[in-house]
Amino acid sequence: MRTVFARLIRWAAVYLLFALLPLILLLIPPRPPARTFLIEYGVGLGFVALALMGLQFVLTGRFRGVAASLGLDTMLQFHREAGIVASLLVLGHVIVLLLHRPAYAAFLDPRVDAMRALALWILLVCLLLILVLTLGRRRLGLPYEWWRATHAVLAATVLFIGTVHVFRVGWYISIPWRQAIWGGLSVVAIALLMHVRVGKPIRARSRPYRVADVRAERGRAWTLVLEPAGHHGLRFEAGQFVWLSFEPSVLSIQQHPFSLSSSVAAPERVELTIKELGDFTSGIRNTQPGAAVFLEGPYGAFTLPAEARRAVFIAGGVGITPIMSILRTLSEQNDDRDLTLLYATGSPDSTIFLDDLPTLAGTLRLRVLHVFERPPEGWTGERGMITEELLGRHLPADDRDLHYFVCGPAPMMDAVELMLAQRGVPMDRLHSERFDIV
Amino acid sequence: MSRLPLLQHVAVRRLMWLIAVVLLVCLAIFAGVRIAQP
Repeated sequence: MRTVFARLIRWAAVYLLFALLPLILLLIPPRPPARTFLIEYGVGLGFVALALMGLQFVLTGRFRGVAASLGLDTMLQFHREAGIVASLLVLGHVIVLLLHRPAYAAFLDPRVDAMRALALWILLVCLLLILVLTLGRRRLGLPYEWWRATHAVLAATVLFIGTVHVFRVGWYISIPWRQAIWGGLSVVAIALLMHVRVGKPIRARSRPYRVADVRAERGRAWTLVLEPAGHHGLRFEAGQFVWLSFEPSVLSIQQHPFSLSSSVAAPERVELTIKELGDFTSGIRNTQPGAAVFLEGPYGAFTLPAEARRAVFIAGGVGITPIMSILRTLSEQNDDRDLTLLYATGSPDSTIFLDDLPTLAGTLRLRVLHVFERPPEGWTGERGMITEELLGRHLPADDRDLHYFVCGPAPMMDAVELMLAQRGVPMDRLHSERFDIV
Repeated sequence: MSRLPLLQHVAVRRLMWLIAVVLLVCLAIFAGVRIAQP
């Protein structure tokens, strides 16, 4: 069971088991009297939806083992889909029960029970807000940190009201041990949220870093050079990323993921290369040397497997950063693998690490191919976008043992991954890292 | 059906929706078992 697909299937089976746990528990005697098929189905929808919502906190728990096995971005993509499914199950729960027995509308009627109706309406509105703010964050112009803060509050509210709803209805959990299990699972879910939003930040604050240098790169990018303050630094694998925060408060909403761009050989001097793309990243240039910085991580599975003797890196813009970490690490290790870098950028002026790559090409068996969207006058190399024809010109015909690493803007990744799949590259040899899931 | 190798992010999405279908089927079994019980 070593392939990525096998790992996904095994992981999904465990997830399914936990999602079905409420139904299994509800079937254990003593059971309340059975009602009609549709009522039992509708009630079951609600229980499974609540289980899925509880599991959402596990998916975002940033567990190193899971992150290393499948990649944190894969977990977050799964979390996103699971959130949509859970919301639809809640909708199904309401619709099935209301259609089958309109008297259940009393649950949402404030004239019958104002508190209960208010709580359930808040739950439905919170759920809707989670979906709208997550799926439409960019279109709405909501800053990432504010989305992240509201997401946690809304999710915790939904879980809390959902659990109280189960207790208040009480049909299936009037027995103490059932109450203990449901209450316990809800506490675990909230504890996981606290683990990520409070526990991990506290741990990060106990291992601060100092900004040693802020280096200007091409393409409106800046490299933060960080040195550990009172500890041994960061042990990471080349290609991984960390969550960065400047705020000393553990409750700060400012925390953003960035790839490490330095070699693993220097844990006492780690570098993050950050492109100015939004409010937070545009402020990096103003960071003063000596400032305290907090890192959480490392995370990510965008790493070079030992068995990969030949690798092709396809980078777009700032997507070069994790690849740079891999190349610098290999260079320090005097690695002799056969490597190719296809690097798509706007122009030489906006090409991060343009001046560093020739040095790496000199120490490694590395072929660097620049693809400029707006090439300078007299440029005879590749221009435009990465296309199938371009890949055909530069990738070896026999690519059975080639590992591909793709990192860049989402549209580029969608296009390149599809091209590679069309060339027959299987999931196990196609490594990618996506940052803009929300 | 596409014969292209599956991409990981596509596989993840499909897997969740497959799980959703399995859950709906299991819910039907659950409801069936419940009403069959005395």
